[in-house]
Amino acid sequence: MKKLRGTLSYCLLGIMVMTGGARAGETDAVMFGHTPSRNMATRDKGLPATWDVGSGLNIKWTAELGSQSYGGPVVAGGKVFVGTNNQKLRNPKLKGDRGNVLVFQESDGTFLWQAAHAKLTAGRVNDWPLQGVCSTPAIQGDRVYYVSNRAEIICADTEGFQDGANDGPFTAEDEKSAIDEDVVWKLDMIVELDVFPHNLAAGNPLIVDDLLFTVTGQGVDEGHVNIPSPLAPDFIAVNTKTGKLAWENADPSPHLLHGSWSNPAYGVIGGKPQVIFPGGDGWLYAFEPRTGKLIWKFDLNPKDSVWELGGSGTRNNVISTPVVYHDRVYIGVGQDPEHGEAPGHFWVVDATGAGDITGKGVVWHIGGDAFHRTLSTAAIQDGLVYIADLSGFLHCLDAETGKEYWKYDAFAAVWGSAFVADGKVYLGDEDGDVAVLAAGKTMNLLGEINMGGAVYTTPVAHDGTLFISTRNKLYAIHDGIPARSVPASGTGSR
Amino acid sequence: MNRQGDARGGVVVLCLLLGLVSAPVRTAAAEWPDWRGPHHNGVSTETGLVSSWSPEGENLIWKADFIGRSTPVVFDGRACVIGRVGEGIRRQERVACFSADDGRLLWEDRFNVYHTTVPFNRVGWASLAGDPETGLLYAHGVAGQMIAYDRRGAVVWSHFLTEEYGHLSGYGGRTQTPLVVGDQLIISFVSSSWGEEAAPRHRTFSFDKRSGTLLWVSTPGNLPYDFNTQSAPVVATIQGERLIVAGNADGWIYGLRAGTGEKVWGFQLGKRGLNSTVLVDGDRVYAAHSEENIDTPNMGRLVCFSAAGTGDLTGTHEIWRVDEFSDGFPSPTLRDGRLFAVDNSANLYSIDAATGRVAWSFRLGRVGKGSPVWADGKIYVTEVNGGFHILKPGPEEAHSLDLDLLRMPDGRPAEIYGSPAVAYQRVYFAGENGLYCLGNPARPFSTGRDREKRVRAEQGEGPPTRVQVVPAEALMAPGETAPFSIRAFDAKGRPLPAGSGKAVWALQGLEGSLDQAGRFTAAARPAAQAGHVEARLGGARATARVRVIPPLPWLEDFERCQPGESPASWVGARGKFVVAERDGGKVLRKEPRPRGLNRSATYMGPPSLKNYTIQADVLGTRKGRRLADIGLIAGGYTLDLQGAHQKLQVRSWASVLRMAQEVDFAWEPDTWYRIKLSVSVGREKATVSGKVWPRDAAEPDRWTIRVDDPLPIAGGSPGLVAYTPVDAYYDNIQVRVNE
Repeated sequence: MKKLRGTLSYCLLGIMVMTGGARAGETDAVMFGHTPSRNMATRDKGLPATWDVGSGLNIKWTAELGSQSYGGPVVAGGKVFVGTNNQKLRNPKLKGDRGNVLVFQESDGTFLWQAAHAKLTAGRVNDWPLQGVCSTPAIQGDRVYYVSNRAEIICADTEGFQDGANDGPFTAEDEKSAIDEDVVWKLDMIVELDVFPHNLAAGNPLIVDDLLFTVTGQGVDEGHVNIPSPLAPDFIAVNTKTGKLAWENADPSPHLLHGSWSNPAYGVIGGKPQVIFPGGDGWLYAFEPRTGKLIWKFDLNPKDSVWELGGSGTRNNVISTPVVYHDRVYIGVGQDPEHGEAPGHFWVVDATGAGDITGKGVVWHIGGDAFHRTLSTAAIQDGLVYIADLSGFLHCLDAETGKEYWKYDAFAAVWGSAFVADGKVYLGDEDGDVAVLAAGKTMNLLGEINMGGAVYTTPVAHDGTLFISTRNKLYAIHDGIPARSVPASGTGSR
Repeated sequence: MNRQGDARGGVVVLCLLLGLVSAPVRTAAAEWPDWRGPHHNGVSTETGLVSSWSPEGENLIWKADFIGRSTPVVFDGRACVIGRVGEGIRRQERVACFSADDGRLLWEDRFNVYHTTVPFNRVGWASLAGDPETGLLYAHGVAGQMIAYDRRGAVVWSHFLTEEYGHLSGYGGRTQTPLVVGDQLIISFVSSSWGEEAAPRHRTFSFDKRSGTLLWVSTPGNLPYDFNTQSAPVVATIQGERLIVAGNADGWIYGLRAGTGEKVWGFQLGKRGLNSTVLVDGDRVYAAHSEENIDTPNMGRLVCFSAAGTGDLTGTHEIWRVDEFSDGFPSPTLRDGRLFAVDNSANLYSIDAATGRVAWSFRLGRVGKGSPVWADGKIYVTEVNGGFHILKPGPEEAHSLDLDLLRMPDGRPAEIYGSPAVAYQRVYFAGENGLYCLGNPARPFSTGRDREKRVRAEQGEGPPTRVQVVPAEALMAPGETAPFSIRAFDAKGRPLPAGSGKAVWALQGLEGSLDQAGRFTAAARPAAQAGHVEARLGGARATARVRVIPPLPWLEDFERCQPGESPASWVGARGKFVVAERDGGKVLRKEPRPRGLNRSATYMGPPSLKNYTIQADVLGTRKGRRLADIGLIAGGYTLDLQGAHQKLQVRSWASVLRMAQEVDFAWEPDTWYRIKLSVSVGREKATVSGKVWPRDAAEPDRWTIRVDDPLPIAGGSPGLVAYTPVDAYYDNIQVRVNE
């Protein structure tokens, strides 16, 4: 018998932000999608192809998370950062539903410190219950940046208070014990920018040099049609040192379909840098990173598509994060998974254009029955694109032409992304299975390993260790660890 | 047909009911009058059912045009279902009854959806309930319509729960299915109305099933985390007592005495609202959810507990649990000691009901919402993406007998959220692309109406320990007389005969006269009142809630009100619309909410009002980029002045904007405007007209906006609606009958 599967939680939004990887590349910062290009493929080596969470085979360590975890994991500076909720109580003074970032020691999983943000009193329309911090943190040096469930951009000391110092300018933390967060600065996007996050602000910050870029989470109100704050920004750039706003853009705000849950990517196209923001209006925007000046924009939906409330329409918004690869942008469209499975689109856009490049900027495209709605971000390596859709299909496509080499059916919803490294493709699903396939033009399933809980995140790797978070546990997986007895979760009598 | 309930129409004496209230009405097993079947457990004793079929025709006896998201009920020779219909401005909720034999449409009712943010594709999510005894059919619409139909489809009674009782609905669209228990129609929902029922709670309402008179309201739980939930009530005999058992929006499961609504026990299952309907077998309750558990840092649990107890059973009565079993919607079924449950990912499990041990699982698809049905040795179960499975369950595994994938004309899967119904040796189910009837076409149709004789309820004995005043809530006019009666019950909740002692009657907070037969005559002065009619019998005491609302015209300038008060008789106003002082006078203020949504509506009077005009002075403030929306409600339609968008909009259904129109309208913060909404209703259309102008200027002759609605809302309470990320104010509210 297969082990009990995970759930489609009634999580409207955690999905939006799933996962992160950690691998410094073009920048000194580590973030969701490893580098500013957001490519879910890396050159890590020596990663495990098999493990067993029951016997402990190849399980280096395990850490308890909250009951829902959509942020991270991301690994930097010897630490692992995860966004989760407060259901695994760490600080008894901070009870109740909160949004947490947990920080663990990379070597052995020792818990180091946590952030634990109270919920917004407006309730689910701005801060969905029990979904925690859905942002995947970005780490640059000794600073960690993320978007809290309260729609604050937080800059914190990666050492917490364990270095004995309260780094400022912000020094008014309520809790200052060794396991609490040392906030350096914060920017409250609701108070200072009048942003109305729909269900949850969940941006995964992009950091390039001294600028942080994120979507604000802007969206519709509880009636799902009215846009309550149409003058507030969708995209912002913030100075990482000061927390001061560098620029803002509100172009999508009057046209939002639902919420803004995608993330910006960055690339140098033809020698000129671009920051590429997917909007809550279903358009893709490229800006000059320093000024916010628009370079090009592209409508990610066919012109005859129709947005219908509740998910039955053909127009989609964007939850997938764009990937910049060889002067092109790879991105799919999708919707809140509660809206169901339906035909989607996956676009490859030539980023060298200017102005409205809808249509003429298309390099190739798949959609309809061939590609369903997706929440996933592409992994591109050796000329192959690996992209999953919500229905559970993992597509292996030619990066130049879009030709499909193979399609794997996970038989369960996929909210995270495929991670490609070391000749393998790792894909988690809602049933709690992680499929391990051989990278390449021929489909070869190496194994399907059940994690005991839904995997809504994307695996990441560092120094030969694979990190996978299920909804409530973080696993460090490394070859060469013999089977042993590990504590089982829950009290079930399966 | 008049869709608007008027509580005044329900003020009737209910002596006839006494003695029959908790009688279980048992229907022949051949029928399926409740969405989970005659015994509320998803099991049918029918035999000779199909093992395979095809949408192309094999064993497909008939298929009717219908867009459904619910489970049909099949009784009285009819298959009845609720769903949605229409396009564009004609989008509505639809109830229809078809001949269970050949699928002929017998009748249908299409009604408007308004005062809600439910999207169109979630309309008609709660299933219907049928009453084999009377032939009545009950519908709970997504926007809070509660309608009783007779066999011919005529409306016998109706209430608009939203305007009368503060029914809350929302984008999620999850709506409670009604339940017939003896002479009662049970319906539950999260409400926020007036007085002691202003605080939002998941309440259970009992109406007389024939007249629609409100018998009692039970509030067993606490502040809910979720306002739209779907764990439907079931009725069962537990330790010899008839109980209504249901999951609550506060995460608990409660057992309520079926005749009185008294809470007997509670069991906390989760932290969030419950959507899966429980299964009761003997004294055991099987329940599931897929959200946060209360005592472990994980999500989802399937649990079995003993309901043989009183009080809080949470820590003491659990028999077994399966953690991380994520069954958010489907209700389990039980047969021969095996529990069959579907999880959110559409895996069907066979579980030992005694121990919770999982025997096998079977992958149905990707998304599980429908509940399995056991019949004729087979399991019939749906999957959201168009899957209809017939399985043969064995001890070690299940074998697929048949799988059909239903598709829409454009090729995409047809959604199926409902569950099968089994009756008359046939299987019925509804999906996005029709209502299906499966069976052996060679077998003649027979309703087999061998209905069991009705059992008279057990009579109580001894002194009354609990009394109820009926109607439990009334809406009256000044000078009107309404009779109230008393119902008495013994310590076990059994009804005592009428005349079990003499009641002593009194008024609380009401002006008027009350005689000792329970007849209340409201004071004739034209002012609104809200209070209680109290009755004492022996040591027991009960009250009925009464609002007295004068006829039009109304003028409210708030000068007689105290700052900090909310108008006592308005539904949904308390703590949201509050009297304040400004510019040397009293006004009504709507502030940003310290908790919860900044958008609120309040209803001031009976839903039966029609053909009137409401006018008010309004002022919005500004902070940063934040501006308020300030509006009026008349006859089911809303007109609001939108701050951030600088528009004036007319609408009825905020998430669908079926008949909405808007015009640009530049207006300034911190400036008083006068806004007017007039609705005229005819048979063919409603004309909705709005205008707004600076208060100190002359009223313009022309309407600023005017819309004809070809599907007129028949009427509705005057009200206010406002979205206030910053303060907004109202003053000088006038409501007048149209000239």
